[in-house]
Amino acid sequence: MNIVFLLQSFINGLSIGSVYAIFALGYTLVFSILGIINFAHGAVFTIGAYCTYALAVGDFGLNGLLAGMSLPFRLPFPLALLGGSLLAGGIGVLVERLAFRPLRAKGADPLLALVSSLGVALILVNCLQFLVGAEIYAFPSGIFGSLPMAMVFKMDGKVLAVRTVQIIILVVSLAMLLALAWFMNRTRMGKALQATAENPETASLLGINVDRYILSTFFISGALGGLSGTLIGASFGLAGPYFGVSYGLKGLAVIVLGGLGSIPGAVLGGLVIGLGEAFLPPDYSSMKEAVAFVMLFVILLARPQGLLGRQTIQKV
Amino acid sequence: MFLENYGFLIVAIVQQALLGMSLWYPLMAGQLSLASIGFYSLGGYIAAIMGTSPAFAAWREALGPALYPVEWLIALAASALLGLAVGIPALRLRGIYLALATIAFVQVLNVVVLVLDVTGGAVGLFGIPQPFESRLGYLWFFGPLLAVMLIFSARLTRTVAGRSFMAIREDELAAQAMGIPTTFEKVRAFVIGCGLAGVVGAMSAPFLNTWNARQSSFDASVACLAYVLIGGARSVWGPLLGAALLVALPEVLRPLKDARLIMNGIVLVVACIYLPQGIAGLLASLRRREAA
Amino acid sequence: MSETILQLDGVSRSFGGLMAVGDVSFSVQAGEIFGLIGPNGAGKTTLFNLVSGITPVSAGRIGFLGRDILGLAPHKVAGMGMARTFQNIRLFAGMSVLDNVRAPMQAFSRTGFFSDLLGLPASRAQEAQIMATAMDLLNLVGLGAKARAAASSLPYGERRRLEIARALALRPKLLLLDEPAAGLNLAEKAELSDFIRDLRSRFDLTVLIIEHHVPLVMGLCDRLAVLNFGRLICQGRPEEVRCDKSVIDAYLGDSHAAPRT
Repeated sequence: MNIVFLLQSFINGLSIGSVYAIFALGYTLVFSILGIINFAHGAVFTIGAYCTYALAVGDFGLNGLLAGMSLPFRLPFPLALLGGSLLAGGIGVLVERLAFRPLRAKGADPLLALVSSLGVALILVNCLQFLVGAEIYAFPSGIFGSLPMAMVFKMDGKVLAVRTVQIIILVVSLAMLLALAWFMNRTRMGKALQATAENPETASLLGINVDRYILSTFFISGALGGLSGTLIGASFGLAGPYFGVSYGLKGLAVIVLGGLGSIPGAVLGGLVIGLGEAFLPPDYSSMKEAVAFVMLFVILLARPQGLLGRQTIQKV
Repeated sequence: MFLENYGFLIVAIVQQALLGMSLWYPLMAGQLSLASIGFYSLGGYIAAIMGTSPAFAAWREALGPALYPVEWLIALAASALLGLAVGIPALRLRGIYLALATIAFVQVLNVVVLVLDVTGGAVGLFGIPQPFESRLGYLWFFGPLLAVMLIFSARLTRTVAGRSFMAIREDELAAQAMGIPTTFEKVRAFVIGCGLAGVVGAMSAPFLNTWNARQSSFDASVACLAYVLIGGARSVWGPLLGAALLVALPEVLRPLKDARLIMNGIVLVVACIYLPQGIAGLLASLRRREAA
Repeated sequence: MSETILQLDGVSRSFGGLMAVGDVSFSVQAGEIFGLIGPNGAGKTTLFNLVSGITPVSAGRIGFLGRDILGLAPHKVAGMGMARTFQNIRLFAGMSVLDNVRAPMQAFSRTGFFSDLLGLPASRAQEAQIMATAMDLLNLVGLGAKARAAASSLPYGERRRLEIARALALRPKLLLLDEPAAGLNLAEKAELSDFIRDLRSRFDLTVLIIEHHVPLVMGLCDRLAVLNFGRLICQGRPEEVRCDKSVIDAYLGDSHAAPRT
C-alpha cells in the first residue's frame, strides 16, 4: 500500500464510478416515474456506443449485414458522442413504445413489463449483431485528435498514469450530472418530472401530461445510457453486441446500493462501486466483477432501502 | 429414426421445462426470481466434480451407478441451503428485490467458478462420465423427475402451503393481515425452486458431458423465465408448454440463421402483451368459450 | 368490570412531519361494538393500520389481550386473534371464493408440508375440517352457492361479505371493520347492523368499526370514539357523543373549534 497506488486507484475509481452513476441514473429516472426497472437499458447502452463508433469512425467490420461498408462522413468525437447519445435516446423512446406503453394501456402486471423489456433487449442486441456481427470494435487511438494517450507523473520513484480517456470520462460525466441537476431542479419540465415521480395520480390531476413526460424520461434515460456506453467503449473497446449486458446488471447493483428511485443515491452508488472496484487489492483483481453484486447483498442485509433511499410507506 | 434425430431436442425440452418449473414455485407466491440458472450451475458443478475429480475416485468405485442419485441429493441439499442464504435477505422485502438479489447471486457465482481451481476456471470441467449411450437415454433421468414435479405442483395448489403462496401472490399485505407469515412462505416457495434447479443441474452435467461458466449466462436466466411466463405461470403445465415452444422454435426457424434470436425477443414481447396468462391461459379461455 | 381487549395509550403516527394520528388513547372491552367515527382524513384508517401492525407507530403503546403488540409483525398480531377488513376491499381476487376463506385457516394447521402433499390421513382429515368450516362461514354470509366462483367475479356487496367471512376464518377475538357499509344501499345497511350483532353473539366477538353512516353507528355501537385531525376529541355512549359540542363542530366543518396540529 503506498500513496501512488491509492492515488491511482482513486482516479481510476472516480472515473469509472462517474460513468456507473450516469448510467444508473437512466434506470433511476424510469424507476421513479413508473416503478419498473427497464431491463433494456443495458441494450441501449450498447447501441449508443455502436452509434457513436459509427459516426466517429464510419467503417464497419467483416461480419454482419453491414460488413465492409462505410459511412460517407466522419464526425469529430464530441459531435459523434452527442449524436450517439441522441440516437440512444431515440432507442429509449422505442423501448417505451414497444415494451411499456402497450402493457400500461392494459394495466398489466408490472412483472410482465419487466419481461417485455427483457424481450426488447433481446431484439435490440440481436438486431445489432445481425447488422455488425459479433466481432470486437475499438476506437482508434487518434480519436481524441492531438491529445496524448495519457499523462504520466513520477512520484516517489513510482509511476502514476492518467489516461486521457479517463479525464474525458470524468469531465463529461460531471458536466452531465450538473446539467441533469439543473434540469431537474430549475426547469418546468424537470420539476414536473419530479412531481410525476412523487405521485403519478396527483401529477395528472395537476394537469401534467403524464404520457408525454414518460416519453421524455425514456429519452433522457436512453441518452444517458448511450453516453455511458460510449464512454466505456472509448475506454475499454466495444466487445461485441453483448458487452452491455454485464454493465446493465452492474447498474442494477448501483441503484439498489444507492436506494431504488433515489437520484442522489444512484450517483453515490455509482461512485462507491467504482471506487470499490478500483481499490480492490491487485491479488484479488479476478474478483472485480463480483464487487458490485457483493455490495448489493450487503446492503440488502444491512439497509434494504439503500444508502440514500427512503423507507416506503405502505398504502392501504 | 425420428426419436434418434430429435432425441436431443426432446430431452432438452423436458430439461428446460424443469428449469422453468423451478421459477414457477416462487411465482406461485408472486415472487420473480432469476436464480434458477445459478442453482442449475451449482448442481452441475457438484455432479461434474463428483464425476471427474480424483478426490471422488473412491466414491465412484464404491457406488457405481448409485453415484448419480447421491449427486442429486447433494445438489438438492446444497442448493436448498444456498437458496435460504440468498432468499431470506431478499424476501423480507416486498417487490422487485428477489429478482435483483438473484441476478447478483448468479453474477457472483459466475465470478467464483471462474476463479476456483476445483471448477476448472474458464475452461470448466469436461469428460463427465455418461450413464447412457444415447441422448434419448437421459429421458430416464428427466422424464420421471418431470412427472414427479407435475404431480407435486398439482398437489401443492390444494394444500395449506399452496393456498398461502397464492394468497401472497394475490395481495401480500392482505395475506399478512390474515395471519399468513409471508416471509416464511416466500422463502419456502423460493427454496423449493432452488432445490429443483440444483437437481436438474446435477442431472444435466453428464447429459452435456462438459460444464463451465457459460451454463449460467444471463440469457439463460431470461430463457427460464420466458418458459414459465409464455407457457402460463398460473397453470401447472405452463413451464412445459413454454419450453416446448421456445426450445423447438429455434429448430423450426433454423433457416433464419442469426435472425432467429430476434424472433425469440419478438415472441417474448408479443406474448407479454397479447398472452398475459400464457399459452395455458389461452387454452383455458378457449375451453371456456367452447363450453359456454 | 369486563375484560379489556384492546388498549391504546398515547398512540401517535406522523408521516414526514404531518401528524396523521396524535396522542390517541382509548380501550375496548370484551363483547363491545366500538365505533370509530370522524370526518374524512381524520386518521381512522391509519389508526386501524397502527392497531393491526401494518404501519409502525411513532409513539405510544398498543396492548391486545393484555400483551404489548408494538413491533409485532402483522401476521403475528392476526394470529393472536385480530382480523380486519379493508376500506377498499382487498380480496385474493384471482382465487376462488372458497380459497379466500380457506387461506387464513393455515394458522390452525397441525399437519406438515409433506404430509399435506402426500395426502396422509391426518392431512385429509384436516382438509375435510377446513372445508366444513369454510362452507359454514360462506353459508353464513350467503355465499355458499358461489364457493367455486372466482372472487373477482362477485358483485360489490358480496365482496364485502366475503371479506368479512375471510376475516372470521381467522377465528378472531377482535374484528376490525373498515367502513363495511360503504357502497351498500339503505336496505343492505339496515341488514348489516343485525348481521354484525349476530356475529358478535355467535362468535363471542369484540368489534371495532369505522363507519361514516351516522344512523348506523348510533344504532349499532355500544360506545364511540370521535377522531378529528388525528386527535381523539370525544368518546362515550352514542347519546353522549351525539350532544358533544366538539363533535358537532367537527361534523359541521367549523374547523376553528377542532384542535389543529
